[in-house]
Amino acid sequence: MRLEARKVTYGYSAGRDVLTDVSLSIESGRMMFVLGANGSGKTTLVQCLAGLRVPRTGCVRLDELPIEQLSLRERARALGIVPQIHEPVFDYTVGEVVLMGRAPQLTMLSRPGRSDWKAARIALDRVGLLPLIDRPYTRTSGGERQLTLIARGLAQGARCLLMDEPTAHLDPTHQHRILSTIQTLARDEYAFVVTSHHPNNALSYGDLVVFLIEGHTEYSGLPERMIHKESLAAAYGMEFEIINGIGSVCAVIPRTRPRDQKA
Amino acid sequence: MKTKRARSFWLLASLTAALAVAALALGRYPVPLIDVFRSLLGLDGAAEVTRALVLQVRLPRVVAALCVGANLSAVGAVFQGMFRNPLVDSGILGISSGAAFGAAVSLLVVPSAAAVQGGAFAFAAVAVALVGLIGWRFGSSPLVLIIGGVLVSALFNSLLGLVKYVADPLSTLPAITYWLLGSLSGTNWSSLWPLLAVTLPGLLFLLIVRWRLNLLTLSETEAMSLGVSVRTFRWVVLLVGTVLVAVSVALSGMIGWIGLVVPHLSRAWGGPDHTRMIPSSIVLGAASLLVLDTVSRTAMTSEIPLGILTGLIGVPAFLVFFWRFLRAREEVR
Repeated sequence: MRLEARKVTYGYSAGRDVLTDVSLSIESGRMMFVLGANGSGKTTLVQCLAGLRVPRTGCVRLDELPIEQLSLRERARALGIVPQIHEPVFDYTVGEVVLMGRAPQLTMLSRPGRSDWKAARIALDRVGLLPLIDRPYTRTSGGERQLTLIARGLAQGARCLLMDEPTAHLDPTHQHRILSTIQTLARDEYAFVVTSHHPNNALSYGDLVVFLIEGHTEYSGLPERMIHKESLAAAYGMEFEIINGIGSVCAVIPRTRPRDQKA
Repeated sequence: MKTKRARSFWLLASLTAALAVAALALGRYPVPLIDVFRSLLGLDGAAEVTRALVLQVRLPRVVAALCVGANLSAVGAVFQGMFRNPLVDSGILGISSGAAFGAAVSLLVVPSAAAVQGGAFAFAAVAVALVGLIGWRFGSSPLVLIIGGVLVSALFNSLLGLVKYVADPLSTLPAITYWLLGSLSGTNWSSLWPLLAVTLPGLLFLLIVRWRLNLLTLSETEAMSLGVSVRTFRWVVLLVGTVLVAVSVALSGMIGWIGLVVPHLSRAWGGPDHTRMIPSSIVLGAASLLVLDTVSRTAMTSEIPLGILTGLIGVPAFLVFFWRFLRAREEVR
């Protein structure tokens, strides 16, 4: 399973492209972080990769097949989007939310049956949320909601999951729970594209990283090689300090004006 | 727990059937149950007058109450889901206001029962078509459609006001007022057939796709990422829902609250999953309107308009749900 974007250009209105010549490639077993500032086009990129937006030029290929040649249903069986968590209006149970992921496996006139519930349970089990299957989704924590949505993507049967800022609004413990779950799944021959605001998460969990800078992809490669002062400055427009661990970069922090300068 | 829910559903369904038979016996001229069964099954023994009363007067009315209640509630449930708004009812999208104007115009121009029914349906369709046009022009997001519905309703309310203003205050105006309050009196087989012809296939469609209706509660990109072509599906469901409501309102006049409260009742019973909510809304809606209509024609010597009864019972019921909703929210925080 291989998902590839080749020189994708996309704009919402003429003359203002959000993405310009974006190229990336991800295959099973890998977890790729897409880093970029607010408004750099991360969400648009995810939707282009999923085939929900059609690039003006360039193409997205899934196993060498142009994605627009697949039907909406076929796409959904190969590719899943895990959206940012949102406040739902109705109190569906966790199980019912995951079951909705079975939609691409069902025809218009059929309803989910025993095998679909089984798939939903297996998916919930893989993210460690099976005990919450009957709990209303509205009464779960942010981290549990994100895991529920991951399970929904797994229930789709998708081997490649695109995640739009899965760790936004989560505390470090829950970030770790989500990202280590993804890491484990990636080892099981899933491919993940994760957009994020946290370079450190890319360093700790990512196999690959790519920076999205004003709609261009740059500094694509291994996180410990590509996350450095220049790439961070280009992406975020500010200076970063690099903290080196044993043999490699282990963390980056924004350089703030030292407080003791005044003293 | 799931089998327990299924059992209580079938219990309610059989209770509704029993209520329907009881409703045939009740009225100004009570009919013994045995004669009701004799008439229904075509057996000898019931007097000709009794048979005619049961089969020609009460049966069409009971069937109408069941169908109208079922349609308003089922479509209310569907609309609340697809507009992601628990305050929406089946009259959203201007259906009720359009129908009210159409009925009023007919009462003014050609005051026959068929013309009123036809006029109400026609203008309900016009109203929804206008909302559809707004949606087609500005994007069919739930918000656009709700705002379109509010605007079109306002337009038809003004037009209705105009018709009332010019109507004869001694004959036509009371007729309009009475129609607006909603009633099933005067229902007979010949006025019932459009409702029957639409209700059965319409409800069957909603029942078949009921699980998929859950996907309409998601945002458009989210549903599309699950492989559902939301736009087509949403328009088809809107069309079916509209026809079901329009044909009901054309026969019954304005009956509020059923399409708002019954979906809440079924959600409280079985959760928001449409797999359970659609069947339970159909049965609960049918049962509620049947009971209300039976009260409306038996409680006093003259009929109590249905719209008055649904409001008197619907408002307190809604308050209870609202209170429960607030309490549930506090548990989260």
